[in-house]
Amino acid sequence: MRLGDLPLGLLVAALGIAVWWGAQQFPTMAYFRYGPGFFPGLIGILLAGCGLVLALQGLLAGGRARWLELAPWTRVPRHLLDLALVAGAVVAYALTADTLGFLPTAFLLLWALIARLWGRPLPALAVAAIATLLIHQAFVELLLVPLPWGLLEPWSGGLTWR
Amino acid sequence: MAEVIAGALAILLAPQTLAVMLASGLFGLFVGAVPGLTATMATALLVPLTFYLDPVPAIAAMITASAMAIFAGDIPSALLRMPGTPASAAYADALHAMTRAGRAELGLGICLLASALGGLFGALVLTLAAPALAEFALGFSTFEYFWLACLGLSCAAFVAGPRPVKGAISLLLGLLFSTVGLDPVTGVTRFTFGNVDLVGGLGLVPVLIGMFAMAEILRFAATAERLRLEGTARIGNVFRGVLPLLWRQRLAVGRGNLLGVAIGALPGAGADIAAWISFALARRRAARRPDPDGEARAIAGGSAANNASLAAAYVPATVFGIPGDTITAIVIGVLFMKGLTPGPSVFLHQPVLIYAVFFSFFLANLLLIPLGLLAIRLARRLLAAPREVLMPIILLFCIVGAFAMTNTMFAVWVMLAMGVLGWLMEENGIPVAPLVLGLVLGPMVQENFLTSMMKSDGSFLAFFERPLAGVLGALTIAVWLAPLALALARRLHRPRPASAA
Repeated sequence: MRLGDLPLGLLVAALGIAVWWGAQQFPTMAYFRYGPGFFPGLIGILLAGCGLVLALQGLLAGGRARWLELAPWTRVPRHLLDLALVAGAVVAYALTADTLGFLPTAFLLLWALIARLWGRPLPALAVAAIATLLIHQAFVELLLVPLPWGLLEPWSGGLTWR
Repeated sequence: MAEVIAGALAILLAPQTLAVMLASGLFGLFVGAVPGLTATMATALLVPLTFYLDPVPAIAAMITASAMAIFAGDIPSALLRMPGTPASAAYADALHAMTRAGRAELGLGICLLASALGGLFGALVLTLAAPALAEFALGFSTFEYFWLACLGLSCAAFVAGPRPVKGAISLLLGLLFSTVGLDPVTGVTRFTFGNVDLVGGLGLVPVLIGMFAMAEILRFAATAERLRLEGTARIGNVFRGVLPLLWRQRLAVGRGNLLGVAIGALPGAGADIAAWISFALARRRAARRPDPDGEARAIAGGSAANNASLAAAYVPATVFGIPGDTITAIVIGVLFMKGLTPGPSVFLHQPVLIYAVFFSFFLANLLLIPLGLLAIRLARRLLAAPREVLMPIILLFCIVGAFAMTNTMFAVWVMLAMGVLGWLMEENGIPVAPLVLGLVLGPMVQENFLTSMMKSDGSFLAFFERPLAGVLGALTIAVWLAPLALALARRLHRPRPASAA
């Protein structure tokens, strides 16, 4: 999804102005001119400036590709679905892992993604199971990262080495 | 001095360090050889794992992984015409042409040895130059550091891509992200929007993993087609005839080494730019004086340059804390976490550790030869690994890795957001490297600026008073004005349009 220079530049300029405005809300200091709002304000102004330059370049260049340009791959529905699945998998994990637990969530998501991308649901099952287990062992046992147990909480004492 | 070297070697040659280097070398080879997985991604994915390692094994792991990955990217270039990492993209076509002409093993042998030589040369420059520069840098004050950080950021913004404006936007976004959280001087929370998780800032690790790993996975999901391994013949003995050929090309390799070191030391310019420039220059020489080895010469130069640049990027990173490329930006983050604050004082207070890091470069590049040979032998099996299976597993690794740093789900959300942002940026031609540099260097720029202003009682002129600060400041302003000057020059030299006939 490629925006032309003109809309991109305007977007960036708008962001810059928003940042500058937000920076003005920060408290100023009594005896020092450069308080917490100084740097963000400067960044905002520079962003707005760069955005305007970009928009200007886009305006001067002209041509059809000025506004929104969709790359060829977006017309293939399979790719759009894959993209949504990947992002959706992370969202699903973030939302459900704490309640369901790492093992079930990761296994299901991994199986769904691999089966979808690879196209072989049964081998995907095996790969997903092994990968989930390996990652769980590596991070929970070796690196002592507290991945959520979720539904398996009652049995978690028996499922670890320690 | 002798005790320092002895101490460094003792740490380096300890079993834990060696085992970690071997494992990360294999990891780096694998990641480099599979197209779509980059060396920066390999380094970013290693960060959660280095959390529990001592400083030297941790950094040595990242050094080994990145060195192997940069070489291994040449393998699919030769076999599939698809570079394994962006650093190999410059000479992928030429290398593939050699494979089509039936000289695959010669091409890969040249890449292997040139890469090892480039890496060793870079390591030598690093070991000699960094302490000398650190000695010089002891006299730096906040003014010099401010200008140096600005210079590094400006170079990064303008070197990163063909459009300086987009590089500047990326840089400013990175600086903006670095202001999220507590202001270091006043303690005011900025841009947290009432979210308590943001008070500590966005977090370097989720942002890195998101921008470099997750963005690649998104790109793969959106665009990649199945890899088709052509029916290439078995790769013969890689070393046959390579040594005499390489000796004939020693000047090209030497030039590649020097270019690689010069470009690697420049903040923001990494292995891929080094390879492009070296390859383009060598090609132009070959065009002027045609010789049958021309292509091979250019490939050797490019391959040496990208490995040499890896080591050189550590010169500004260890001496000033200014990353020479995106990989060192990640390593600086790890150095901070391990309590090794990069800067001239680390050469005074912890010389053994820093020298152990330098020596690990030598070891890593020596290790490159046997491991690289292994990778070439296993090339067909490596490339047959289905990326459709690998990418989801790497995605899970990203999620867990981002979570592992702070044990909050918020980090996973940050990683997702940064991944989407990074992917969108690349789609729109906005380079990602300046953003990461801005994020890493933002606090340094801010603190040094504010401290300097406090010292000079609010006077801007003080920034140019000290001679070195003045020089650095002038250089920085020159870099800012360069794109304008170039644009103006181009407009003046444009030929006048002929009047209508």
